[in-house]
Amino acid sequence: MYGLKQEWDIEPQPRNCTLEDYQGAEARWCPGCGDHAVLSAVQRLARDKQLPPEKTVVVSGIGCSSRFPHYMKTYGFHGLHGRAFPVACGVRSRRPDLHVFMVTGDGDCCAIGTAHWIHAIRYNMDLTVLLLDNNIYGLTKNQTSPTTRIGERSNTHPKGSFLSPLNPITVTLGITNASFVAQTVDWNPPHLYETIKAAYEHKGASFVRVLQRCPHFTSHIFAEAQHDLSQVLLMNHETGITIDQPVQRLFPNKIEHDPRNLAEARSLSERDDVYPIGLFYQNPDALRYDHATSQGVGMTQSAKLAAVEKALDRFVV
Amino acid sequence: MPAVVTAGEGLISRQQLRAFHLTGKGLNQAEPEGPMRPALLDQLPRLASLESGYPVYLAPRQLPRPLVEYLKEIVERHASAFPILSGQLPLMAHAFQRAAQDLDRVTIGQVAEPALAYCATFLESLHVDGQLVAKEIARLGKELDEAAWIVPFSGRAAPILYAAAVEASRGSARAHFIESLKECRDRVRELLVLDDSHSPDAGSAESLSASLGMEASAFFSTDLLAAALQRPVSALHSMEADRRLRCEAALVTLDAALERAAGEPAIYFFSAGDVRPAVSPIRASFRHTSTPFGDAVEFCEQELNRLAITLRALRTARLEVQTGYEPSIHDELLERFDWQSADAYELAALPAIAVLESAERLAETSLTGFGQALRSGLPVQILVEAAGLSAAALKAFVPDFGYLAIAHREAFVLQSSLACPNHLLAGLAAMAGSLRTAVAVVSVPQREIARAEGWTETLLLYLSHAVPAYCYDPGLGESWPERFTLLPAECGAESGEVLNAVHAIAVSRRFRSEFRLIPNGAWDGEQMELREYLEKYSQRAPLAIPFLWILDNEGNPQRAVVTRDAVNLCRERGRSWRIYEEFAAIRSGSEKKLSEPPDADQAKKEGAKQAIYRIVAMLTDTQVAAPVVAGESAVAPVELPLALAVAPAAAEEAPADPYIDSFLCTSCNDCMKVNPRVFGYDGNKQAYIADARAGTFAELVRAAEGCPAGCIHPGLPRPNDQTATAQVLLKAAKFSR
Amino acid sequence: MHSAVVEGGREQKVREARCVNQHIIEIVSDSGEGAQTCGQMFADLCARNGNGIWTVEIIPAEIEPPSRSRAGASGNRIRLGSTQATNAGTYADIVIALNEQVLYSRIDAGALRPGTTVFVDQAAAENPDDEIKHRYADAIADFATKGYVVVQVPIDRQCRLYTDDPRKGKNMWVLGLLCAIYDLDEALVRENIARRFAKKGDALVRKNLDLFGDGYGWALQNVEQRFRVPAQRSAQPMVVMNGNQALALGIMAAGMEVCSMYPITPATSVSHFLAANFEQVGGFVHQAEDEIAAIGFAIGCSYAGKTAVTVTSGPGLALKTEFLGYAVMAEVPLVVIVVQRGGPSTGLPTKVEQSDLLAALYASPGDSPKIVIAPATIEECFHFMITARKLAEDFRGPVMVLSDANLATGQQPFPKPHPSESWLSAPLDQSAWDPEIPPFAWDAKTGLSRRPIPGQRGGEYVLTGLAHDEESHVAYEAAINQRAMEMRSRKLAVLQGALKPPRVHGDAEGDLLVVGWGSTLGAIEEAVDAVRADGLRVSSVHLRFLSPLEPGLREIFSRFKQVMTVEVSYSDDVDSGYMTPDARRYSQLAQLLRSHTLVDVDCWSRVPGSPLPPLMIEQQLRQRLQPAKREN
Repeated sequence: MYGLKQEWDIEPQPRNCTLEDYQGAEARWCPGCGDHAVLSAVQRLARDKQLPPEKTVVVSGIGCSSRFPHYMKTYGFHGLHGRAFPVACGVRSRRPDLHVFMVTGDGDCCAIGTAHWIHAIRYNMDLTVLLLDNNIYGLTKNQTSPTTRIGERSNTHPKGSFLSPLNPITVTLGITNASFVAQTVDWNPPHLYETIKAAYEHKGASFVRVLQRCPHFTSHIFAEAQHDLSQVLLMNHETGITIDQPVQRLFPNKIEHDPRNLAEARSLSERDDVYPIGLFYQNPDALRYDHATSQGVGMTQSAKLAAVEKALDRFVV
Repeated sequence: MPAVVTAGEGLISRQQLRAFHLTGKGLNQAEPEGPMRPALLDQLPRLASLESGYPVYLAPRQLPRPLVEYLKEIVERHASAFPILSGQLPLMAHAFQRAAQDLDRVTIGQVAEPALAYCATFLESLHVDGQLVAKEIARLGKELDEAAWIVPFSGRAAPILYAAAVEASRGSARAHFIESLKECRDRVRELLVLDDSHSPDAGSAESLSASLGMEASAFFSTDLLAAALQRPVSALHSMEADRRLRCEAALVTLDAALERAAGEPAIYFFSAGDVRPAVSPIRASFRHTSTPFGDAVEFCEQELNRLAITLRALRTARLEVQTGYEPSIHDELLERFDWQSADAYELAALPAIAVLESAERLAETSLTGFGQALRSGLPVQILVEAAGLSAAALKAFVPDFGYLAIAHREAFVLQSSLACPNHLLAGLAAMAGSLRTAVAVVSVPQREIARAEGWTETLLLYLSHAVPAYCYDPGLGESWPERFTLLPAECGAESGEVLNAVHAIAVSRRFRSEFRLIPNGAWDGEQMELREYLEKYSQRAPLAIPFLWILDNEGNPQRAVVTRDAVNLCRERGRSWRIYEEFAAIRSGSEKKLSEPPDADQAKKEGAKQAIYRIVAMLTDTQVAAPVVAGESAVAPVELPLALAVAPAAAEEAPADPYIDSFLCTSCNDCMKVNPRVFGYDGNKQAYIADARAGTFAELVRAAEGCPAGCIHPGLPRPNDQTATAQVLLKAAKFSR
Repeated sequence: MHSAVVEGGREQKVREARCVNQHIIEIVSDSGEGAQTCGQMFADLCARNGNGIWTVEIIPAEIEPPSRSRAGASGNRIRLGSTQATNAGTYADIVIALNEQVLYSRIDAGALRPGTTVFVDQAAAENPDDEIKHRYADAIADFATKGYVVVQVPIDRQCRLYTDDPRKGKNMWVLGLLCAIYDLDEALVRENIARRFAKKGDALVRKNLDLFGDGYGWALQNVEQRFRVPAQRSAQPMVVMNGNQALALGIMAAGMEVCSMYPITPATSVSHFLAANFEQVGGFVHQAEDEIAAIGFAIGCSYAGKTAVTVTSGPGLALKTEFLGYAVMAEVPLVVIVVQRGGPSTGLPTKVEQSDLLAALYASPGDSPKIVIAPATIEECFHFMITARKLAEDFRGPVMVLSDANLATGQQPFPKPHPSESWLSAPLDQSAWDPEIPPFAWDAKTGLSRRPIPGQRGGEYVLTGLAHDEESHVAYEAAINQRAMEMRSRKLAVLQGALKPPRVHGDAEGDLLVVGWGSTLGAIEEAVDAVRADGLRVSSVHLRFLSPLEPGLREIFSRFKQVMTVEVSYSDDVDSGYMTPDARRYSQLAQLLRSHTLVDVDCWSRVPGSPLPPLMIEQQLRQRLQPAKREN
């Protein structure tokens, strides 16, 4: 009689990946570097989501943060300075089955790679983009980056940087078709984790800026904020990034902000009295370029062959 | 035409009447010559108006539905275009029914012209503006889908309506299934192609020069190149032999399945009747056999086993494509895999296997087969055509097939009538979609009689509750009321009670021997109108002779005396109707319905909510409480939010033992650098105190100072820890007190 | 056919068609007058007839130059042959000019010779503006003195009988004229026109047929020249297309699924064709934000398992070089098409040149050995795509394909290829990877290795542009770096070992060997044949593989007294002012061959922005052979 054994389903046996399954080489970042926090947050996410390591790709450019892929036991692409975006988009273009993370730094993304950054946001392919922003070039030893604040001394500006810093959030919020823009800090792992999780779950290019210090060259920049969380403004919303009560209680300053409200998101992103963290803006309906690029994926050989024949026939005389 | 006894033959004696009533014999001269017209029918609305469910409209991949609905759709789509016709839909449907009535089925194109012409003339006869009508009719003609088929009311309508329902409700499942087969087949092919490319001989000079394009041989010595390319150790083992075999076998099976699917009909009919049901345009195969049930069951088993084989291949292929096949587990699972493990859409993709049987044959010869089919539990479908009431119904006990089938509990059962097309079509659709053993008993007119006559009889059988219309679907729930729905017979002005089985048989030639027409000369008080008679009849039959009011051609009332058998039939049918009403919980059942448990689990939900509230409340208490406790000290809560938040209890006084708010740790390795034995990482790669004794208090404090998350709390130094100088203790105070 | 000037318009006795085995026709007009459509259609018709053809577009430097300007010539040159035409030839036999001024740009380009018949639209003669009238009259007189056979044709006037905008009609009329002159089957042409314009509606078809018919009729009555270029239809079906279309179709036939590009002349039309047709084979054209992103996207796609192609030209190549280096270092399969144009810098965007050879070979930081191949015919443009993809995957690295503006726009018939499944890249491999085997398991002998593709369980690794070991772990140790470099370089040696020595056109030994590459094949061999016809001992070799170079060159060179390259790129002439043998800079192939073979390879090269005419080459060869003769 039909229906008795319906629940039978023959599926591949689930694997249980542990944190170790995502841990690659021993991380060589300086002790105290925020990159560690992001790394273990991503590894935890991968474990909690049980992403198959072989189906996960981490793409990066050049810089301290761009060593990231080496510390993941997944597929990785440690590319060229500033060029992580095009590579990540290329990886995604024909592989809807992969989970693509992209790690970049303030120099990589906001200086040499700016054109790619802007267009990748506009393409809105399904990527999880992590901008690890420590306001300095660390790998090349202390040069001013686009996000370095006025007056900060560096080897290229020993008297202090002249220019007011570029704000990656306001820029990204200004890009057509931006679909997910968030900010978090390396020194609050729960919020960091939830933010990256939300970014991963968002379908489209999710842009997360992680505020962090470089223990070597900019150890002071977020020092007060680390110990006095009243300098941080926690953006809350039911559709935003949700962290559980105990952590909520750490933040004296909270604001309700609907991530659908772009105008408000923009004005919040321009606040310089506090560090707003949470989800600035999300538009799940934004157009996705990878839908176009992946058309025809998996077409059979015979079908291709037939099509080529047809194309050639049009030139027969 | 009803006969009248002429006065010349003298009066009919009571004895004769009584004798006839009890035995059904004698007074043959008074036997009506043809079907009669019960006076009651005149009180009912025009029976024809109940007919507008015909003809039925069949469009490819759509469930059959009354043409009138299709017409409605059209005129509503262009409301402005059909001011007149939009009010005349039943008329138009009737026109098509008329034009098609002598055919089993026909395309709209074939009958549109006469049908529309009829409408035109009819409307003009109603003094509607002829030109306007002509215009609308012409427009409508353009809108109609000429290729679509229509089925008029006829004794042969049931099979094609059923076939159309099958085509519609299973077609999409079938298409979907075939797609998934193709998809899977292609993927396995790729797998094998790839495996070939991993094998050492893939790098052969031939295959290489082929793959380098036509110019290759001009520039390369391909065997040298091949030799070079073969060198790299292949990281890709070619598949293990048994996996390869599995894939190849699956591929073969899938190819075969696809090939077969291409040629399959939508239905296999099995029937002992030699008349092949006319069901085109639906593709069906017809098998004439003396044992239709046995054959159908056997054939169904074959098909299902075949399906199971295909599905095993499909499952295997899917697993292989995801490289998820693990012999230790799946071999055995697939071993046990049979058709019952299939997904619904996969079963629905099978052609329907249907037995076509007449009620007579079923009653006389094939009841055992019927039972066997029911017991089999296979998705065999049985379509029983009951043409009128069987004459035997009066003399002997005739099983109620619907009732029998329901008794089986797990089968889908439909009893319906061509006289209530909406119920029938809905029921057939449900049946076609059902994956259980399914039985449909359809009351149809006798084939040999005129259409109008057949219609009246069929309709009356239904309206009089002699043949109730109901559906029993075990898939709908556990309780009877959920599974069983009874269609209340509404015949218009008066309630179903008015009509009874005797009216129904009165209009049928088959039963005229059950009646005698007596001239009013012979009327007397001992005779009693049937309805009154039935009401009086509780235990014992009243001492009276029941009769029915009949109208002759001139419309004069006549008394038609009825036999005891007819009366019994009538009472038996009445009882069974009440039983069905109970199944449907229309009477006593209705109370059951009310007492069903939704309130119960509502209560559960409530309880759960309460619990949550309570927990939340507790939490909030601690929230409030914590700062108060903290309030004792001069330190503002802001400075100690972590300690408070995480371990409210700890707030009362500084804990002696060092601890870490692990959930705040950024895994930055700083503390590890201080002393890798004191600090360790937990399962989340977040730090905790692995062994406080493995290091000094000073180390704890240094780590706490370095920690970017400030989540290390050194606690109090252990006695005689030399490193705990005043200075260190001062620093430590920042992190705990 | 050195007959005297014929005044157009007057009745002429129709002559028998003269039989020639090849002929060169040019149609020039202000751009936008459709001379190119006309040329294309005429060429197609001849190809259908079974003639060998070679067509090149005559492209003005600007998109919409002023009308009646000398610089503004736009149109086609069509070379007809009874056998295969391998190049555009030297002098036109017939030129049809829709106004007398554009003709000058062709004269300046040296496309005409005394005796060339020029058909000129006499519209200007009837122009109200006296200035125009006079310039026309002067021009006609000038043409006559230059020795051209001038036929004045009332094209504009005739067209006005059928259309108010002759600019749109002339091409059909001229097509009629040509078909009459080369006496093509009129019915065939009409049927062809009908088919071609069917989409645009009957009205247009009818108009075009009228115009065609009028041109055809007019020519029969008024033009005395008649030519027939005998043709033999080949048994197998032939296709006619230009080089960029051939590249695009090759990409499809090679099973590549992504073309990532940034617009740049003259490469862009490859992606135009793909944009319209790629989806039929499940492919996709990505127009990136810049040249760097274009190659980055392609590399990402290749890394993920689908070998991609990027299409560019000189300036784009310059921008791509960093990523090219990455593809070499990280051994990512990749096909890079470079359709060369005039350089340096922005140079001559629409013109022919072969000067990106060394850039392709060396323009990446560090030592970046890569495969560089160059098709010499349009047919090769198609087939080299299949070869390129295959080599890129088997040798795990970038393969550069150098075409040029001459092949890109030139049209030539060739046998229709028969695509086979083995040309297609294998379906995405997701089978498990043996974790024991590292991502760069370099074979000690060949340096070849297989790469894991994301999705292959057990193959997880991190690709990097940093120096790395077999595990792809960053490694700065001297020994590891030395070995890795060696392995990447070794692959080229392996490929060369499998290459055949180039075929020598002409005798295996002699006084002079000409070496060429790319689109100059036809012109060089035609020149060589012409010289050999006079008994001079000259042969030629044409290279398809530039890196690795085809084997046996030194040996072949040794059999000739002199070796010289002929290239469309710059080199100092020995006798030019201030020039000393030490200071002299050789053209690029010459430099490559000299360093590679240690043979004193000489060169002759020019950068006219157009294909080298066979006659020019021929003259050079004869000059070179003078001293050689004296020595004997």
